[in-house]
Parts: sequence; structure tokens; C-alpha cells
Amino acid sequence: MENHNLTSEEQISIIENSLKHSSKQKTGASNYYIIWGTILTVTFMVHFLNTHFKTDFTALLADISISLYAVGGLLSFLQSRKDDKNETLVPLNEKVYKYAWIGASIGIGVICVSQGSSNNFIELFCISILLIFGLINLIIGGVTNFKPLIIGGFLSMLLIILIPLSTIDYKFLITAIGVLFNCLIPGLMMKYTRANV
Amino acid sequence: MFNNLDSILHSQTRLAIISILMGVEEAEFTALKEFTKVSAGNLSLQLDKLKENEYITIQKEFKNKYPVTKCRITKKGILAFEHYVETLKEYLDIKK
Repeated sequence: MENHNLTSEEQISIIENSLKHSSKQKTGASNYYIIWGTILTVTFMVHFLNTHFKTDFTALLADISISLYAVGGLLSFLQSRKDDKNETLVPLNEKVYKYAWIGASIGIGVICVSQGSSNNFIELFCISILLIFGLINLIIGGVTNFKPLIIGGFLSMLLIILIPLSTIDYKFLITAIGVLFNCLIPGLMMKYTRANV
Repeated sequence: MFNNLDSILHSQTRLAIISILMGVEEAEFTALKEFTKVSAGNLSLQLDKLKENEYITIQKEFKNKYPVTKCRITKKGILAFEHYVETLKEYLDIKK
């Protein structure tokens, strides 16, 4: 790129190309959506199986599934190190994901601490997961113009209606389906489509 | 003809740098070099000029034990770019 007197066409072309280049940058959020979408879907499915069939094997699976959260934490840590290493252009949307999901984690943490001993904690927890995840994905999907997140977020919030009407085992199943719609499927679509999210 | 255009941005490399920085949170020196395809020395000169005019900030830090230079556009830079685009639009309207 040389420096000489620019014509208006050249100036527009430079601006266009540069802005296109910036907007093509992906945030890498798809990896976290896939990691946590998989872990939460599997965990809630295992809890559904355990409360529905109540066998020793499902009880063992339910115990083991708790350790998946630690695996998720470790994978997220490794992924963030890899992202830091490779990322030379930081997209504008990255902060949206960061603050939205920090907020979600704090919200879910506060609910777990404050309502942990409540009689209907499981129902409250399932509703919180679907509501917070749904709301966040609806907003992020709107900001980034990524329809699968908007649809996933909307479906997730719709599923909340069924939770108070279901028995405890199906509360877990509905939450697993919700997480599948609002995390795992949009995450896979982010990763394997050309969408710049 | 381009009297009203900001002379700082009226350079191919500097205009490309500012346009890139408009669309991202921050950009590393290597990414800007790769996109603008200028030599490291020339890019440094252009970045210094933008920094002197407070259009960008330059931060030097270490990433995995390697030094990296990170550039961000400032509010003054954003306003200058927007004004540049507006002036360019006006010029094109007159030309039509």
C-alpha cells in the first residue's frame, strides 16, 4: 500500500475494504457456546434419567455429571488462552458476549447461593437457566444480527411456561431441551456457517 | 479539490488503519501490517503520526512472553473519520 494523492474512488475503496475486513472477524464465542451447551445439556439429561428411572446406574451418572462443570471450566480456560494467543484483531462484539455472560454467571450464582435451601429450588433453578440464557441470547442475537440466537432465546423463554406444570424429572428434560436450543445449536451454527459472530 | 479533507487521514495507509480500527475493539501491529501490506518501518511511522494527532492510542505489552503492540481508535479519531467520510460524501454529491 503506497502513499500518493488519493482519488475519491480509491478512498471509498480503502474504507470499504477495511470495514469489510473488520466485520469478517469472528469472536470465537462459538467454542464457549458448544462447550457449555454440551455440558449443560448432558448434565440436565442425566438428571432427567436419574429422576425418571431412579436406578443405581443413573444415580452414578448423575454424581459423575457434576464433575463436568469442572471440565467445562478447564476447557473454557484453555480455549481463552488459545484465543488470546491467536487473536490479532479484537471484534467489537466481543465485549457484548463477555459482559452478558459474566452477568449471567453472577445471576445464576446468586440464585444458587440465596435459594439453595428453598423447597422449590430445582424449579427455580431450571426457570432461571432458561430465562437468563434466553434473555441474553435474544439480546446478543439482536445486537449481532444472528437469527439462531434470537430464535433459541425465544424458544428457551417459551419453555419456561411448561416447567411449573411438569414433574421434577420433566423439569430437567425441558431445561436440557432449552439449553440445546439456546446454546448448543446456535453455537454449532456460529462455528460452521459464515456468520461473523 | 480535497481541501476540506483531513490531511492526516488523506493517506492510503493511515486511512486504511483508521478504517480497520473503526470496526474493531483493538488491533495488533501484525494484523495491521498484514492488511495494509506495508513494511514494518512504514507502518510504525504512520501509526506514530496517528498517535501524535491523538487519533489512536498505542499500547505495548507482553503476550506469551512476546512483545505485542495494540492499537485502538480514540474518540477524536472516530470523529475525524466520520468527518472525513461526510466531507467525501459531500464531494461526491457535488461531483454528480
